[in-house]
Amino acid sequence: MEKVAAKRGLWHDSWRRLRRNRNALIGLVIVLTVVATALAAPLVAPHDPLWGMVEDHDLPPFWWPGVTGGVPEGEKENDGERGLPEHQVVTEGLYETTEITFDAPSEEGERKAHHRYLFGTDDVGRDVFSRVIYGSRYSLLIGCISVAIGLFLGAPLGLAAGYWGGRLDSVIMRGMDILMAIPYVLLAILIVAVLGPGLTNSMIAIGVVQIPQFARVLRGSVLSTRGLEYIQASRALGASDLRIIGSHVLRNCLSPLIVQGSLTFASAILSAAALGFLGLGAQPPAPEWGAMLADGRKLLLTSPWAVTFPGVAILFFVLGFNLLGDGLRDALDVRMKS
Amino acid sequence: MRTRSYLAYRFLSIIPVLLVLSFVIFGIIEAIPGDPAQIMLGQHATPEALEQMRHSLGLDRPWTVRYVLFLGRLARGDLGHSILSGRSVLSEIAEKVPATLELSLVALLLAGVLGVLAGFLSAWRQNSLFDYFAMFGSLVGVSIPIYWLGFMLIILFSLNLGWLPTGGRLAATIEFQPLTNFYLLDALLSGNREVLADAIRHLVMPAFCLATVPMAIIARMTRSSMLEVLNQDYIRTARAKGVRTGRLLFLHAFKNASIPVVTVIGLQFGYLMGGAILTETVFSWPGIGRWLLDGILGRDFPVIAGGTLFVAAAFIMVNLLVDLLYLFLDPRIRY
Repeated sequence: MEKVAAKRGLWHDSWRRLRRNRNALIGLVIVLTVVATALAAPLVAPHDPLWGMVEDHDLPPFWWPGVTGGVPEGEKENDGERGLPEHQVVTEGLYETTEITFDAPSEEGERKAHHRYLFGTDDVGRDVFSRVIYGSRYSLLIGCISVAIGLFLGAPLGLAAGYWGGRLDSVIMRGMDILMAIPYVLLAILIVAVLGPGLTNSMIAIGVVQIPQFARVLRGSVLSTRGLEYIQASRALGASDLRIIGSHVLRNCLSPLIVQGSLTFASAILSAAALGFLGLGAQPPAPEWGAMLADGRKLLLTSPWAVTFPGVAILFFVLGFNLLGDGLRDALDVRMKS
Repeated sequence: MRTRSYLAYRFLSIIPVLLVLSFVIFGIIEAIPGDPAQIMLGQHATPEALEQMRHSLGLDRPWTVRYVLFLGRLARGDLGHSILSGRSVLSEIAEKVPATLELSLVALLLAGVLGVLAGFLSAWRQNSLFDYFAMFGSLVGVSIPIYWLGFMLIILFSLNLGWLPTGGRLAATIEFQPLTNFYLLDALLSGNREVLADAIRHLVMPAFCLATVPMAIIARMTRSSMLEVLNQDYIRTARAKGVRTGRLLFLHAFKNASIPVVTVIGLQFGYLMGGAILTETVFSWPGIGRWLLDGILGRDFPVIAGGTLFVAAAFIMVNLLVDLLYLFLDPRIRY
């Protein structure tokens, strides 16, 4: 009798192995959670991410250590005289969107307000939770675009270098070496310096920085595939280079590319947040996780929660992709060269 | 003999890389928007003064001429003067490098010792609770934004517990005339215990912060390299022969497992230079990373050029040294 197992393809097999890998599953769940959050951000976020109530600035989350009864220690007495800077007055129309938070500054009202802000509020009264939720959209977007740039520019270079070899190989790979001679973060910063700070340019910078990594991974796996007998046979049968690459070589390179993609996604999110933190990426008031930490030093004393949660979000998302990438590497049985 | 010609080849092969790098950096500076003359003279400069300044900076000449002049100055070790501070870039680098180097070396030492130790123990007790804990920790270590970790450390140890200072290299109240700008070394040389203690207190958090990622990577590499070696036949033979566990682990296994670990430690240098920008920003550390970032933000062209070239050249040299270290570590490698 025929064995059924023979019908299982690479993907089916990989999925089975991935399911058995606990870390990878946790990673997958984290990634899917963040993706779902990003897509459903307007439904999940209770407040507007860009506008807050200045009256509610620097409120701690109700469960923050040291916060009793919803009112921060030492803030009770001078509640009434909490001076608000003139320029922070919010325009008329926006009161409507966040009207519920506009309670009288009585102690009862304060307590209610605390419970409205799961992660507290920042120095201008914006809800940190809502901002963190909306921030997932930026990270997802940055990850997708910059990995796409690295992949679509790096992979063809590595493919060409590995497949045709010779002089083309040395020219391409020396170029990659030079790109890699400048430390990763520094190169990204330099590119942003040329293009100007901003979200789009930081995605381009991170994408460019990743080109050599994709090129090297693809070149490596093309090299190990190129000499295989069935490819020689295919060539003997008169298949063109494009056909061989398209139907044989690329297929063999898919697994390493997927693993590299997942791990690169993680580092792209980290780098983008770092650029945002340095003031070179997404610009305030955008609720990008890194940019939310840009004023971190200033907020450390007054509202540490506003510094804490964006970082937790970055860690959570990046950890998810790293777990998934490691799991995929095992499941797809890829041996990566460091 | 062959080794010697390989060494010569490796040293000479740096030259074209540096040449292309200098061209790339020159191109980047050319492409950065903003007029240096305008930055130097300010908004209210007259057109004549601007023209004169452009002339004296050589900005009115074709880029090919400027590139050749740029190379000529580099060859003489002249990196120009900072537009913002007016000081020579080389002397600024000389002043900032010790701060970054001190931070990086302490971080690398920390990462190396703790990382190798954790990886070693993980491999020795594979699948133990410690192994799981260490490997999860190293996964968190490579996923954490280090500047955020720095903030968390400041909140905990400076603001809440009050144990450590929030930033800088030395308390403002301490009067100290540094000699080499390596504060630890200076304090030791002058025998000033107060300075030494304060410098260490300032160094703890930034160094730990900067060490996080390399530590995680080194731990993972040590573990996998040790496991690979421990599964080899000669280890089984040695064990059957009755070699004691300690001797087996250190002398037989670790020596062979250390080669990829050394590579990985060497490769962390590039990371440290990038990570230093973030760490120095969080902890107000007056080093080269922060200085370079300020240069980039302030469009200080000579600083960007000189700083980047310096960092990249140092990176290339360290990578070369790591390659050469193999020759001593593994006698089987002959080029």
